[in-house]
Amino acid sequence: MNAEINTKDGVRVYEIGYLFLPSIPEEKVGAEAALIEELVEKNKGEIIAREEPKKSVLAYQMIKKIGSTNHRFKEGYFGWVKFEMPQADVNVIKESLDINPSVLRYLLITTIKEDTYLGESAKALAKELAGEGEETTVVEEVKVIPPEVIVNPASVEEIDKSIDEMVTKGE
Amino acid sequence: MKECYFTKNNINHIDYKDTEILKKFLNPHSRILNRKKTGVCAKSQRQLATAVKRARFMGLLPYVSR
Repeated sequence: MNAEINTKDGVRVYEIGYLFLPSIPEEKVGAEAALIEELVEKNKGEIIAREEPKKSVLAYQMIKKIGSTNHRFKEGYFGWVKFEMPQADVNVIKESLDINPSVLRYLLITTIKEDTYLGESAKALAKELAGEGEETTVVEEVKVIPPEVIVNPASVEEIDKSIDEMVTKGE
Repeated sequence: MKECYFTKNNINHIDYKDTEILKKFLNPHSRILNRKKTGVCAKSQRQLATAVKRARFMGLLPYVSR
């Protein structure tokens, strides 16, 4: 989606969204996230934005094969990092995330440098979208009422005067 | 004609993490609404579809519900 490539040295903006296993204790999650960021920086990456992983309930049950058995998870710590990196070095990140035992799932995508995540302000926008139907009716009401024009009509005398003026001018 | 929600709010890039917004474009079964119903311009609708699919993969939105 609108990915920009800096053709000079093949530097591109990437974003990793990751889910950590819920079995990791809460104190250690920050350290795990720092490990991913370290890995990015080691491979000529420059971090643009990030968010600490937070525990959240998954929308559906996910399965990860650990050892020889399938484990099912209903929760996970979701966090993300946005960074700039030469295209040639991204595969290293991919491979190390693939073998990382504490990552339940990750998503590596190309994106743009500008801030795209709305976060809290998205909620307000979403509310606005929900109330859109009501808003349009209000706007219509405002359009219908232009009574001020009619409320202040010229008095009878004023009209008489102006007519008189017109008549005299005509003569 | 309904105005495109994303161009109106000056959103050039739809982020998969903004699930509050994405949810508005899903029906009760969590399927993506079509362009006739969303009133979103073609470019944004394509971005929207990609964003919803990414959010689903990361467990932020369901594939199916009800």
